Formats: sequence, structure tokens, C-alpha cells
Amino acid sequence: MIKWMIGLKICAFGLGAVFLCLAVLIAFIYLFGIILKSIEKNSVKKAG
Amino acid sequence: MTSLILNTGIVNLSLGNFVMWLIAFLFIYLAIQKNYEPLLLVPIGFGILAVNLPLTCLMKEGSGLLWKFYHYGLEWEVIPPLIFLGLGALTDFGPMISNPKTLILGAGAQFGVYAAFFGAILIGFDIPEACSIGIIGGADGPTTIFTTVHLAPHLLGATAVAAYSYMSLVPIIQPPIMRLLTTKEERKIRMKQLRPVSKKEKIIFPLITVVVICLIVPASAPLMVMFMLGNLFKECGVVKRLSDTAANELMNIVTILLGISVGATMSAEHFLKPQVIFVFLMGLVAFGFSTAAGILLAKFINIFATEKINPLIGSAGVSAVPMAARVSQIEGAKADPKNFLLMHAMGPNVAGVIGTVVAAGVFLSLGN
Repeated sequence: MIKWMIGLKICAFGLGAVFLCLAVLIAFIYLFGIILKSIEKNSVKKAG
Repeated sequence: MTSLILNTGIVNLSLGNFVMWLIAFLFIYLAIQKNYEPLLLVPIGFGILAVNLPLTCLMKEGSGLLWKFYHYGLEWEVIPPLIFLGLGALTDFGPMISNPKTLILGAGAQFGVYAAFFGAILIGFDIPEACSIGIIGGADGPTTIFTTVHLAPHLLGATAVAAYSYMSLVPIIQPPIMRLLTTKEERKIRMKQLRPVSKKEKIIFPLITVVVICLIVPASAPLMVMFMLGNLFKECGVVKRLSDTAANELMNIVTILLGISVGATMSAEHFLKPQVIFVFLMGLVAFGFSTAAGILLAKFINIFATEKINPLIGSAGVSAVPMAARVSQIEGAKADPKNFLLMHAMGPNVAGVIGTVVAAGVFLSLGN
């Protein structure tokens, strides 16, 4: 029984960590995409 | 004279040695004739042959040649992170950055890891052993080895060989599951062309990834740090020599040491046990579940998404780069010959590597 409880804990933490890590990465990718686009727009405006 | 005869290997041969020779020859045959993971199966097969030659003492603790490779290479955590350095230098995260949604598919494919983990507990393995068996489902050889060396070193030969065997069998294991879980219409879904990814994004990605993942799961740091360092070498464009070395010469050297070290752990007395059969069985369960979970998650995302995902790319989340992505492409092309899924499948494919490293980090933190 204890073994199963530890197993459930590892599974919950493991899947939670995997989804959390990848979700944070997705958020960062979108965020940096937006930031880089705005930087490029600003530089085009300045050049123009 | 009698003493000389008694000190030859011939009189010390056991039936187990013969069985292991057959396994060694089978691996070498599969590598040479069938081209199944030859870069690994040749040194592994030869390592098995060598370690099952009686009285050679190649794995004698402290002095055996192969023991030194094993001890300083694997037990000291040197070889798997170096392999990850090379993998990083070979990996293009562009398709994943271009369509970040596909990262979730890499996470979905980790369900198989936990299915095998619970399966192993059910069979009677203890927690560290179950962690080592479960991670086979990640289809990532170095991560499997890294985890097993820490948690259940006595299972190293079985888990490593299971991981690499199933990786080479991805084109056989995955397609029936892919066809079973998708309709022909779903397999025909064409995905929007990927946007070009700027160099800046590609340089920033490994830096952010290493910070995010090592902060959340510090135990994954040895693999993740080297993986992202290798990728930074590749993407920054100013250390071409380092990138080339990591991806070629260094990778080749450590692959030789990895293969022969893994093979060396497979002596008859360690390998010929009933539990090895269960390891292989659970490895297959893990692969099947990972494939199915990736596909089903893609179908689930499609319920809400405006831009549909071809569910076939979900199966690529099992890592096995780039074989799993190629299988997605092949199956997609069978339904629609003009549908090109390869680059789309590379997203979940490389995300699967990250997901497996995170899963391994959690096993290492909690599995002891």
C-alpha cells in the first residue's frame, strides 16, 4: 500500500512537472515572439 | 599442466555464457544485417561477448578495463550528459518554436512512462526499479541509462537494451496504434506551414529552457544543461568548432564507450533472470501507451483548436529523434501523399526529449 502511495505521488509530481515545464516554455516562446516582433517594428519605424 | 588447463576460459564456460554469446551475436546480426541502431548494437553486442568470456576479469571491480569504462563513464555520470551535449548540437528546435502548441504533445507522450511505472510496481518491482523501467517509455537511451545507473544499476543492461531495441522498432510498434486511434480523415489533416524562426529566438530558447527546467526540476540539470549547451553551440554560430566536435567526434567517442559499457553489464549471472523478461514487457507497454497518449492528446486539443493538428504527429512525442517523426510523415503520406508532416512532427519529437528528461529528474528526486 505504501509503495502505491509513493507511486501515485511520483506520478502526480512527474506529470505535473512535465506539463508545468512545457507550459512555461510555451508561454516564454509566445512572449519572446511578441517582444522580438515589437523590437523589429520599432527598429523599422526608426529606420523609416 | 592441470593448473594451466583449469586456468583457461574453456573449462570455465557455463551454459549462461553460451546463451549470452547467442544474444551478442543476435545484436551484432541485427545491427549489421537489419541496420537496427547499429551505432549502439555493435558495441553493446561486442561488450556482451567480451564480458561473457570466462576469467577475463574485464568487469573486475577496480582493475577490469570495461569496469573502468562503466565506473568512470556511467557511474560518474559522464557519458549520458556528453551524449546530450552532442544531441543538443544536432537538434533544431525551430519547428517547435514555430508551433509551440506541439510542446504539449511531447508532455502527453510521457503518460506511457507512468503506465509502465505502475505496471512494474504491479509486477512486484520496487520503486527505484519501477522508475528505471518506466523511463524506457521516454524512448531516450541516455536518459534511461542515466536514471537506471542511479536507481537500479543491476537493471542497466536490460533497460538500456530495451530502450534502444524499442527505439529501433518504432517503425514497427507505432503504425498499428496510429491507425487504430485515428480515422483516415484525421490522418489527412493538413497543417499550416510553419513560420520561419529567427536566429534570436533560437539563441534565446536554450537559455530560457535551461533556467526554467532546472529551477522546476533541479535533478534534471546534468542532462538538461548539456543538452541546451550543445544547442547553444549550434545556434549561436560563433563556436562552429565546438558545435562540430560535440555533434561528431565527441559524440562518436562517447557512443563507443556507452555501448561497450552497457554491454559489459550484461554478464550471464546478471542478465539471465526472469525479471529481465518483465523489463522488456513493460518497455513495450510504455512505448504503446506513450504513442497512444500522444495521439489522443492531439485529438483532444483538436476539440478546442481552430487550427487542427494532425493527430499522427502526437505519436512523435515519444522522443526517438528523428525516427518517430519520420513514422508520422510516412503514415500521413499513406493517407495523403501530398501531406508533409515531418517538420510538424519534429516539434513534439524534440519536446518529448525535454519531457523525458523532466520525468527522469522527478524519478531521481523522489524514486530513491
